[in-house]
Amino acid sequence: MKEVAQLLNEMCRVGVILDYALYGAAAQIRYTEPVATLDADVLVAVPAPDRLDVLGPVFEFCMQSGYHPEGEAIRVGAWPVQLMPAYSPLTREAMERADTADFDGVPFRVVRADYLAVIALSVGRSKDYTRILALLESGSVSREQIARLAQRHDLAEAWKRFEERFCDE
Amino acid sequence: MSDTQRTFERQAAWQRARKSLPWPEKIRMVEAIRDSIVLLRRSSPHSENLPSATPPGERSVASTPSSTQTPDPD
Repeated sequence: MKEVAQLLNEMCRVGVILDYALYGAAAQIRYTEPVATLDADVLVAVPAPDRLDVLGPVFEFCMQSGYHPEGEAIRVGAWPVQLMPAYSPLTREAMERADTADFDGVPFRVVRADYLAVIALSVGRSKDYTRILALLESGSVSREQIARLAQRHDLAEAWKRFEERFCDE
Repeated sequence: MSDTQRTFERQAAWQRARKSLPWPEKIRMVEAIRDSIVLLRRSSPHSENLPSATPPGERSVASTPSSTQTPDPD
């Protein structure tokens, strides 16, 4: 994972991407018990988001650096890395407000727990709901924080349903 | 409270304590079990499109992904 951080930082330095933040399970693990995951998911901001092949320059840079596509991802050391342009106000904000963590001496941008929870709420699969519950149980985010963020991103109804189903016993 | 219940509670507390480990350490724990997960999943009938359990360079490179795909976070 350190190699992933180094590659992303280098892409920022040379301007292939403007910003990035790790999200998904690998980011969740920062706050919770370890959970099994196969991929590293990364939000990215690119200089030309309107071009048809929005991730083209990113993949070119990776290949020139010796990292090759593998299915939907780029293999970086042990990790298939899935890059996702920050596609919505929620994910853009999650990326912009990410923490800069220290990964064995390498700075690594990671989405905060409250944004991880609300992104999971917006996706809405069973494993996303599990993620929200794990984040709540870890104490890294509160129901009130999630409620406020969900409200700002038009997910208040989804959060209400989640609370009724999983929190109100 | 039964001995079994007490054992479950001790195990649950021990598991919860792992959340306090440093993040890089937890990531290394996940890396250690990734290949086993991939191999186990490959043995299931619904195992298409799984990432490789083998190191880079030991398998063929797949096609370049399109920029319009929107994978969900794992």
